[in-house]
Amino acid sequence: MNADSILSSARCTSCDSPVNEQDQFCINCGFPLKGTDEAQNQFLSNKRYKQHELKELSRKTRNAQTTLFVLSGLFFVIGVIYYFFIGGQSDLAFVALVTNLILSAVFLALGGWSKNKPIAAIISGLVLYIIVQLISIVNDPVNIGKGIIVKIVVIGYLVKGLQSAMEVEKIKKEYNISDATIWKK
Amino acid sequence: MEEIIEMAERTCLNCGAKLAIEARFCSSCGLAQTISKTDESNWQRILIGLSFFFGLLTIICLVGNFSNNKGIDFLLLMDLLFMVITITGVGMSWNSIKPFLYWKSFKILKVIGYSVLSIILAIVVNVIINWLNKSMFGIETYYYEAFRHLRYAKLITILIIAVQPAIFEELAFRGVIQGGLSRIIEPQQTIYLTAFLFAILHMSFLSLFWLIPFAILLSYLRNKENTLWYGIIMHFFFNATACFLEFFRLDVL
Repeated sequence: MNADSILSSARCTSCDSPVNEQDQFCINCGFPLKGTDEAQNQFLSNKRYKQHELKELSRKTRNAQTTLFVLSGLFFVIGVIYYFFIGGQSDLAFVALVTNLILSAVFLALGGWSKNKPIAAIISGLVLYIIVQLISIVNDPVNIGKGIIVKIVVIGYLVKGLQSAMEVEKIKKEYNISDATIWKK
Repeated sequence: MEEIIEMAERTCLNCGAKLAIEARFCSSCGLAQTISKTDESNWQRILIGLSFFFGLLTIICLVGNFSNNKGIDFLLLMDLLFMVITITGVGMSWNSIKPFLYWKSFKILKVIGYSVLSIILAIVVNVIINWLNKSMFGIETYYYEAFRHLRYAKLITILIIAVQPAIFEELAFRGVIQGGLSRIIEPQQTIYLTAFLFAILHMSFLSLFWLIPFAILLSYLRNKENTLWYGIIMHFFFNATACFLEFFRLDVL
């Protein structure tokens, strides 16, 4: 650290972090400090494009998060309805109720986890959901058809959310950001 | 005490210019000094491969769990399929598994320590599960019953319930799956994810309360000690303790 940088008020145009007078590029975001107008504009428009892309991807990831919470609610509701109204409160229906409540709790936890660690949570949710469907099919092959549209929609949202979460990670690695604050501006 | 001299500077990955330690981009050439290396471009392929691998294992476990055939031949067939698929997976991801088959962090004290830990955990879990089974379902299940009629029944039980899962479940989960995931996801997420996948494949809601923490421990140790061996040993002692407790309860010790 030389005395100049402490006194200098030079800041990066792109990310507003302090920069040394003699640097060619901002060490925080890579903006070409000494580059041509063209190079700088190119960088800024690329950055705007990436910010937009990140927003889009985050939206898709949030859809997957919501799907996990929705699944939690669905399992809860289905479990309760089945037990009280269809299964006639039999022993078998009780087992189904407990199973559905546990699944509801797990998906709730996964939804919460997905705020922090979207990739792991969405993969877990996807795997768990598919296994549950497989088991119900093994129990009674008729179950494939029941609510097939809901199942496809759920899996679709989860898969899209997973792809988006991985793309977000990829962009973060590419632009070397550990969180989105590098682009506060 | 060794004096650790901190590097006050780094050099750019591309042009070799000197950089401050916190620099994310090179001040001379602008190249991103990437935080960590990942196979991002390949992640779809890796994820699909892992899904396929995990899917095959899932099918085996589903069939084994829900089939009406509980005979020992059927059990062994499922085990054999599991082993075959695991070996294939190991072969296909050999490059990421090989480093973890070494045991550079071997210390006899650690072996003893982790083994004792597993034995204690196994006793605690076994007692709880047994109590839960009896009080909630009024049943007691024993693995031993499947092998009782054989010669060397206890030895075979240990081989099939302790040795085989220790080796092959570790290879499949902490080896193939965790290894593959760590190429595309950061370490902390791979630990939790691998643990979750391992836990649900056992297809037992009741056991989730210990399966998940145990799996997290094994996955964490694989990363910390950089080897699969401690996991294998712990898994073996865990399952073997459960077997011996069964023998004790059934009075066949």
